[in-house]
Amino acid sequence: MLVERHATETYRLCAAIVGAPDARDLTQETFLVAWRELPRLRDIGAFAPWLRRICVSRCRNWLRSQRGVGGTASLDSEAGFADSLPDGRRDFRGAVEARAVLEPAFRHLNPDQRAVLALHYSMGYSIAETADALGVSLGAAKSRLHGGLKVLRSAIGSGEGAPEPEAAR
Amino acid sequence: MTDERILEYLRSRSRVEPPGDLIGSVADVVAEAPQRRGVSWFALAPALAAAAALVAVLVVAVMPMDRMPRYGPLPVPPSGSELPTPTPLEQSGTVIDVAWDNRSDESFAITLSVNGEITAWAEVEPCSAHNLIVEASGPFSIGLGQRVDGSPPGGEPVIWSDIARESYDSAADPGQNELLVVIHANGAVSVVPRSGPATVIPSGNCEPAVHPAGALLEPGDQVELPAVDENGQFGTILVERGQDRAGYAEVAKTPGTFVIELFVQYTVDQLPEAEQFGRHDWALRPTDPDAENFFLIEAIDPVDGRGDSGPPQPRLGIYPGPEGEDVTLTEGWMAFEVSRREADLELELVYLPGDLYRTPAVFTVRAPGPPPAVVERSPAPGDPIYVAREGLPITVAQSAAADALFENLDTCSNPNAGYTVAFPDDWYTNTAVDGASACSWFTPEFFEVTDAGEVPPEVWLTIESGHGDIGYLGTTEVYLHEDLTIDGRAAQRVEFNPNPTGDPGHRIYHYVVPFGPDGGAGGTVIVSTDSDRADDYELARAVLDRLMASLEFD
Repeated sequence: MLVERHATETYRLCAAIVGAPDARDLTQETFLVAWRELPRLRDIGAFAPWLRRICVSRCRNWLRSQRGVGGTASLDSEAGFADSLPDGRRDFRGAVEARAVLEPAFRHLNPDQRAVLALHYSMGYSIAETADALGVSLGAAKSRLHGGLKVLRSAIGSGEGAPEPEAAR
Repeated sequence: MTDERILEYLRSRSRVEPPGDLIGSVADVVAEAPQRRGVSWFALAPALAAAAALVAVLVVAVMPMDRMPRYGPLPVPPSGSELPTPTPLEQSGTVIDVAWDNRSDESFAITLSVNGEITAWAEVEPCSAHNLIVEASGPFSIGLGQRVDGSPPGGEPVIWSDIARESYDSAADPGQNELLVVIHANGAVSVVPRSGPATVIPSGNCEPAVHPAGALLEPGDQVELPAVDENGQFGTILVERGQDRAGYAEVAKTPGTFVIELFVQYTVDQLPEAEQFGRHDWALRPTDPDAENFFLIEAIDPVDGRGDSGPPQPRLGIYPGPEGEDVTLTEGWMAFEVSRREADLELELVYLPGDLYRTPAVFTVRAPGPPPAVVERSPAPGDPIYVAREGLPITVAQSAAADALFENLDTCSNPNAGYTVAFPDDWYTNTAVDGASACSWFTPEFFEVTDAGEVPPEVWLTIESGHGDIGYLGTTEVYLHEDLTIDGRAAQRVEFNPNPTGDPGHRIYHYVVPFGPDGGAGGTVIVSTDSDRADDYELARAVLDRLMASLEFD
């Protein structure tokens, strides 16, 4: 029942942080860890935020393990790309341009920045929920949001490709 | 390209449909995986047939074993007893000495459930065996319950782990209504249908064991102890005391903390197959069990994405850790974050591995005393000059502009945190919005809230309230750290740069004030300005001082 209730949201969070192609494996890994550690959870009412923290941790670990792995993914390799194309009422060209520039920039964010942007903007969690999922203070979450957006803005502004990754503060 | 494009892109990243078989595949993977408590000690029942269970009576015969032998078969009940004789079981496995920690009032209970409802239960003690005769026709389940501190004595136990529950069906197999339940010294439970084959069950010495000797009071102090799990000793552990630190930024969770560092090295003779060991087996706590706010502190998670900041490398992880995790698995540092308010308590390091219910080892790590001081640099030109102002309870940064702003005041209140402050009449503050209570943001510029939870870029000063604080990196450059009183509460005024190497010009200036009826247990208010936000940081700092001088809690 817990899997049924939380699998989709967990999958979307994984996709937002690491990308759709690897979201399925990380979703499974998240639930495996949750299942293994479930006896430690004393308040079943806190399952959702607890699962979220596990998911974020798994995604960050996976991203760190990918450091140094070469290659860049093409836009078409993202399973969610087709779904994210706007309908005819939106600025189709603008969205494609945004993705062409922002995708590489997003990939060059450090795991912390990817996670915080995904939690707050992609998934719509509040700052407090985002901070809880990351295990940091509100101020730290805001600082990371600010830093991540700054990186994306500078990528757009420079037009020279993805910036160097920033170290987390 | 605007921020709107960026936000739309970010939103698009989650607009993906999961594969159609996601739930099924995840459920399959989870179903095959063992839970943390390792292999179930319960003998697995064969497939149950559907049947109606109407009435069940639990008959429990308690046969406490005063002195359980180290090896050999379980003792038989006294002669003349009407109870069935338990089937002798083979004794094997490594016997472990488990320290008898009587500090907790935990007790165990066997429960009988029919149709999901507990119909009978009996309290049991470790080092005891119990014959169960369940008069039931149909499905029933036996569980292990635990009553924790605070629950009413004699009340129904709180079932806190469903793993300690197994189902049987006496209609399918009449032999399943006669069970032997053994509560081992370490609190583990074995349940075996007495008509079934003998099951190898590890035992434990019920005699209290002496805690391994040693203390870890000074940097460099070392202790050695056995590494144990439910199956016994699997190696040895060397623990070395590290330094006390002023703290780590972005890690602090309680007001005004400091950090105790310890290095742990496992030497493993045989790796446990199913169990994990590592960082989560350790905790700090006050030595005095009656200490106010008796607590357990767990080590800071080293893979929380803090980059190069935080606890030193290598950092102790949890074996078996995932590949690519930036920790070593069998040795590394642990950092425990302790509130400065607890610095006057004697603290001890507790080793509580795996599923053991009793603590095998405890070491004193800190004697009462002042915590490490936050390091300040010498005053430099450009630092604010603090002056007293008539009618203000605290000194404020000298600023004619700020004085002029405060000649005409407005006030606002935050009903959630319970405070009221005065601010310049020419400035703006917020009403309650999604993500922020009223009276949380202050700025001389008009602003609109466009994104829920996002502080508008025009905001110069922010007030956050909650259960959180900001600690200070060992490398943080602190320009000011002053203790003062805000509305009768002990508070701190701090100016610092969390990353002087990477961002030398950055300044954060904040006040940290506990609030609530207990002067801190209710939460903390952090009022801050940031040179990255305020167009005129010096003016913002001076305004913040005057705002804080007016702050009153309800």
